[in-house]
Amino acid sequence: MLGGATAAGIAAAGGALGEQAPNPPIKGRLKQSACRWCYGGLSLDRLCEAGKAIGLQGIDLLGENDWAVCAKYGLTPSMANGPGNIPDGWNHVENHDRLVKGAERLLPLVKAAGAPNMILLSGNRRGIGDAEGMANCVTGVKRIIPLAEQLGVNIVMELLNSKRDHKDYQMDHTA
Amino acid sequence: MLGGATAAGIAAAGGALGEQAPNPPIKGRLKQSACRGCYGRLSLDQLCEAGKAIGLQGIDLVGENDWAGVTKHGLTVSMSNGPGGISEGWNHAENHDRLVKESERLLPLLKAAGGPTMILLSGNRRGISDSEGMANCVTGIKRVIPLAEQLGINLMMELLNSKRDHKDYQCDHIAWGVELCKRIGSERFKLLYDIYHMQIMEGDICATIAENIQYIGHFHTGGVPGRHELDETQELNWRRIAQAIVDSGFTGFLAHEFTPRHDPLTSLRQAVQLMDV
Repeated sequence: MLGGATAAGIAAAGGALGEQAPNPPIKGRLKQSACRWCYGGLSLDRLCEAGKAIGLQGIDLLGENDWAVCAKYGLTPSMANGPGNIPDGWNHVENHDRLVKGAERLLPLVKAAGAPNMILLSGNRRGIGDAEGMANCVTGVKRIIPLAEQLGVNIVMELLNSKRDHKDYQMDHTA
Repeated sequence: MLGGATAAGIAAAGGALGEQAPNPPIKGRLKQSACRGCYGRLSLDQLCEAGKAIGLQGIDLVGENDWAGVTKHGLTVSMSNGPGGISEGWNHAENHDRLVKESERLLPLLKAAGGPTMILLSGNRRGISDSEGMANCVTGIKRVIPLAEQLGINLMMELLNSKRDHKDYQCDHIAWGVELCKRIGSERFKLLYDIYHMQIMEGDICATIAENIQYIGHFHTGGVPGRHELDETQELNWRRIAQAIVDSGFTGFLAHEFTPRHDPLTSLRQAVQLMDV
């Protein structure tokens, strides 16, 4: 896992890492990734190079233009950006045509990029009950399930907190 | 705090501590206690003597027959047993006469023993809604508030998890407990915030404590999952939680309520040192 990174490469990737090289070995029983947006101060190339040396096996939440950058470092786009966003998601039927169209365009590209997963978001409640939001999500998401199954791409909906950071987000409990 | 314990006393109280004496000094910014029931293999005298040497200032959840056994060691009965049980509590009106009668008997005795706090329990829902259970708790507890205020004894209702350990228990969310405090409206009624239970129900521990500290009078610990030692097997960062409690200006007790998997007093000492920020 560390083979691809040189000491010079590690030192170049952000400065601080240079002081700590070499990176300790990683067992890798848990495949680890990092979300791109948390490292906005680094170019994607620097994040990938240093991340790989640290022991990452993937980068999360990349858009379609960045999947190839990730892959050139031998990393997996471990969770691809999907259609829609946090407040406007699958729980409202009026979003479905747009979301399905976006998903149908993205999924073959996700497959071609070697990304195993694409993220989905429930959307905010905006007055919709949990039962109605659930029924709407089922109806909408089922429209893209056949394509996801055919391509072998996982579609994964994120659980977020609706208490402090994303008020009104519907998918906020495991149950 | 360490003055009362001799090295021989520590060595006698459980064995393992004898190998590690002396106990390191304790800052004591957070007053710590331990629940009697978690140390059943020790006599109360052993627990008090060794606990005091470790840095405890109180013992929790002891019944009236044991209060003197705690105070003779210079420790406080930091949380006394109260009337009723976990499943049969203040949320059902048919329990009120019995609970009030028992409270009226216990409270003067507790005052005489030095108090300062008696536990209350909401009881299980058994079909009662949260709003009805709340209304019943307000009605019942208000019957004992005047005596508690007169005696200067704190009444504290414990928050428990209804998800894994105490199915159907009603006082299982901070919002419900805080609303109950507001409706009772006495400085003598607060919540026992059990961190183990609230991690299971709600998480968000440090922010919840900071936001609601005026309604929290007492804390319990216990590792999640399993309710064991506060160590690396647990999902919470206990030292950060201790810091949040101290930062909030809290002046009450934090009592350890975990079932030790290892030598009980060694585990208790580790917990006390961990939370001594």
